[in-house]
Amino acid sequence: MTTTGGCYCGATRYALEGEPLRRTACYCRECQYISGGGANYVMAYTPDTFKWTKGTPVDFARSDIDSPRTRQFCPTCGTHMTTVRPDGSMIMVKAGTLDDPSFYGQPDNVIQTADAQPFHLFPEGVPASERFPG
Amino acid sequence: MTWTGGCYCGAVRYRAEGEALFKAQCHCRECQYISGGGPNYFMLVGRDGFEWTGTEPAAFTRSDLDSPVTRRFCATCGTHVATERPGTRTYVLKAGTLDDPATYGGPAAAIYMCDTQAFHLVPEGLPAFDKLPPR
Repeated sequence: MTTTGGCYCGATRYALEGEPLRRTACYCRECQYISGGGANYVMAYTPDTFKWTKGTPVDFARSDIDSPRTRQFCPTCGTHMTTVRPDGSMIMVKAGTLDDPSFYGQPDNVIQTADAQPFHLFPEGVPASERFPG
Repeated sequence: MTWTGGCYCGAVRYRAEGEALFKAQCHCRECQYISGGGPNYFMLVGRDGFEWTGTEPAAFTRSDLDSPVTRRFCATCGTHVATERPGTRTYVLKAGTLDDPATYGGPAAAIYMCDTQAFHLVPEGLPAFDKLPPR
C-alpha cells in the first residue's frame, strides 16, 4: 500500500510504503514554532519506506547543538514535511502533508508534554510522556 | 501590549504593538498543510503597530486564486510566522512564534470546522463555526 503527500504548493512530493511504525503527537517547544503553536502530528517511517518523488526540500539543522535533527521544508511555500533523526534511521512525516490526512487516524502516543502550553489539549486515553516514553 | 517573537532559527523577528483583535484556532485544509496537521493557533494584530525587526521573511502567494493571502516564512528554517490578507489592516500572527506562547492565552473561537480531521481537538464550550463567524 502506497500513501502519497507533499507540500501545500505541490512542488515537493513524497511516497510512503505501508503503515507507519507509530503515530505521535508532539508538544515540544520546537514543534510549536513550526506548527503555528499547536501539537505536531507525525508518523514514523524508516528510510526504506519513504522516498521523495518530486522536487527537493530544503534542509534545516541547528548548528548550535550536538546531533541536531534535520527538518525538511519546501523552498517555495515553506511547508515542513519531515523531520529526520540525526542518524537517519527514522523519518517523521507530518500528517497535514498527506494527500488525505485522515490516514493519520489517531495518535498512538503523546510526547514532550513538559513543554505544553496552557491552551493545548490532549487526546483522552492516549499514553503521554513528559519527554519520551521509556 | 507589546508582542515579540520570530522564527525557530531566530533570523526573522517581529514586534507588534496593541491588543490581539481576534484569536482563534483554524481547522482549514490549507492551515493543516502548514501546521503539520493540527489546527493553527493565530491572532490578528494591527499592521500599524507591526514591524519586522530581523531578516525579512520569504513570501508565498498562490497564483491560481483571486485575492490570495500571502504567507510569510523564514527562508532558512521554514517557520511560518504570519499571513497577510489582501484588503485588511491586520496581520495573522501564529501563536507558536511568540517568544512566550503562553501569553497567547487561548483561542476565542474555532473556525473552518468544515475541514476538521478526526484527530483535531476543540475545547469544550468554545464557539465553533463551519467557516468564519458571522460579521
